[in-house]
Amino acid sequence: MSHALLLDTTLCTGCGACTAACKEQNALPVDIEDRNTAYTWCTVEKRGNTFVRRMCMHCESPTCQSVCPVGAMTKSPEGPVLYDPKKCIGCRYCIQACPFDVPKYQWDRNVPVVAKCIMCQPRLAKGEPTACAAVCPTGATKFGHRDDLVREAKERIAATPGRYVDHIYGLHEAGGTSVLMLSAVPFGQLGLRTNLPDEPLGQLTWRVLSRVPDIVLMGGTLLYGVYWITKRRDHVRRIEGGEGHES
Amino acid sequence: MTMASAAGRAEGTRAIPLKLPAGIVYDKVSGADSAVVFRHTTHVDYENGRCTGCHPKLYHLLNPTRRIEHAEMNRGGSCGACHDGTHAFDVRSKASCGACHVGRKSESILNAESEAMRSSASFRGPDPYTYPAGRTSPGPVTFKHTTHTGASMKCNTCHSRLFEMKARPPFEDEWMHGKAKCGACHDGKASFGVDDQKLCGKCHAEGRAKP
Repeated sequence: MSHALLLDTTLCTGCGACTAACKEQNALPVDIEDRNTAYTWCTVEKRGNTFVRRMCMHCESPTCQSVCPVGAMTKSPEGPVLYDPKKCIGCRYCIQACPFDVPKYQWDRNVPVVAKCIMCQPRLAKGEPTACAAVCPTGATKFGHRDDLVREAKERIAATPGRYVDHIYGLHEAGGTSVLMLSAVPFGQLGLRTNLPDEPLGQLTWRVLSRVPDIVLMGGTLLYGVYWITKRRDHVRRIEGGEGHES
Repeated sequence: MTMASAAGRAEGTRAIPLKLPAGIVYDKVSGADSAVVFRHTTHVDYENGRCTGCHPKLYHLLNPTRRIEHAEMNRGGSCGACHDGTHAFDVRSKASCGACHVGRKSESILNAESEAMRSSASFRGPDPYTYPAGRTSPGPVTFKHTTHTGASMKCNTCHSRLFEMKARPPFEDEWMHGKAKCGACHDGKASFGVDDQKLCGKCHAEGRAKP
C-alpha cells in the first residue's frame, strides 16, 4: 500500500519544524534557504494568510521518471519517487519536465546531480513516518496510507464545508500524487498549478511516441508503393516504345 | 526566511496552538536543586512562532541532545547563541544564574509559571528606560515594560516583530509615526495616538508641548 502525506494548509502556522527536521534527517547543510534548492528539500511559503509547504509531490506516475534518459528516477511501490545519484548524468531534463518545479540542481558542484525530497525513504523502511510529519506541532502534515488520507481529507471537507475549498489537490492532478493538499483558498492562490490534466503528463508524449513504429512501418510501405508505381509506369512507357512521344 | 515572512505569523489572523514538547530537565551536572528546565513555550514566542531559529542549526530535532555544556554556551554555541547579553541575558554573567537554574519542579508548576510570565501577572521585565528630551520635545520619556504587558499583550506582541530583544535601542523620531515601532499600536485606534496635544503627559514627564 502506498504511503502518502496530507498537508492541511489551514492548520499550518509556518513554524518551519518540517524544514528543520528534513535538514537533519537527510544530513543536508543546516542553513535554511528561502526556497527549495538541492540542499533544502522543503520550505514553507507564505501566500496571503496561508502557509503552504513546497516539497516533492511524489506523483503516482512521475513525469521526471518518464523523461529521465538513464532511469535514475523511480517511483517506488511504497510511495516515494526516488532518484539514484550514481546514475544521474546531470542532464536536468527532470527539472524541465516536473509540473511542480521540484527537482533542483547542485549548481555549485563540479560534478553536479539533481536532488529532491525522497519522502524519508530510510525512515519508511523502518516503519516510521517522514521526519516532517513526525515533528509537525499542529498536525498540518499527516503521514499515512494514501487511501486512508484521501478518505480523511474527504471527511474533513464534509465535516466543515465552509472551512475548505471543495477540492483535494493531488487526488487527480497529473495522474494523482502521494502528497495531498487541503486549503481554505483556491489552490491557484497558493502558487500551485491548476491547469494540470488528470492523466499523467508522461501519457501526452507516450501517445505520440507509441505511434512512431506504426508511422515508420506504414510510411515506409506507402513510400515504397509510390516508388513501385512510379517505376512501373516508367518501365511500361519504355516497353511501349517511342510512338507516344512522336504523336 | 525573509523578514517579511517571519513577521507574517505575528500578523496572521489564525491562532493555532503549537503542540510543543514538555519541559526538558537538565540535572545531571547541576543536581536537582539547581537543575535547568528548558521550556519551549517561553522561547517560541521570541522567534515569532518559528522553530528554525534554533533547529537544526543549534539543536537536533529528531535526536535531541540531552547534554549541553556551559563551556560551549560561553563560546557562543548552544544557548549562548542568543543568551549573549545582546539578544537575551548573558549566560556568562553570574547575576543571571537563577534565570535558568531554577531547580527541578513539577510540570504543572512550570507551566503555571510560564503562563504567569506570558500574561505578565508577575512579569517585571528589564528596568525602565528613560529617553532624554529632544530639542522640541516636552520632556523625557520613561518606557516601562510593566505598562506594556497585560492580558492582550505578550512578549511577542512587540518582540521581535517591532523591537529586537536587546539593550535599549537609541530613540528615533520615526518610531512614533508609521507602523514600524511605537506607532504600530499608538496610532489613535489600538492605543492613544501620538499627535494628540492633550495627551503629551501620558509619556512626557513635563507633559506640555513646548511653545
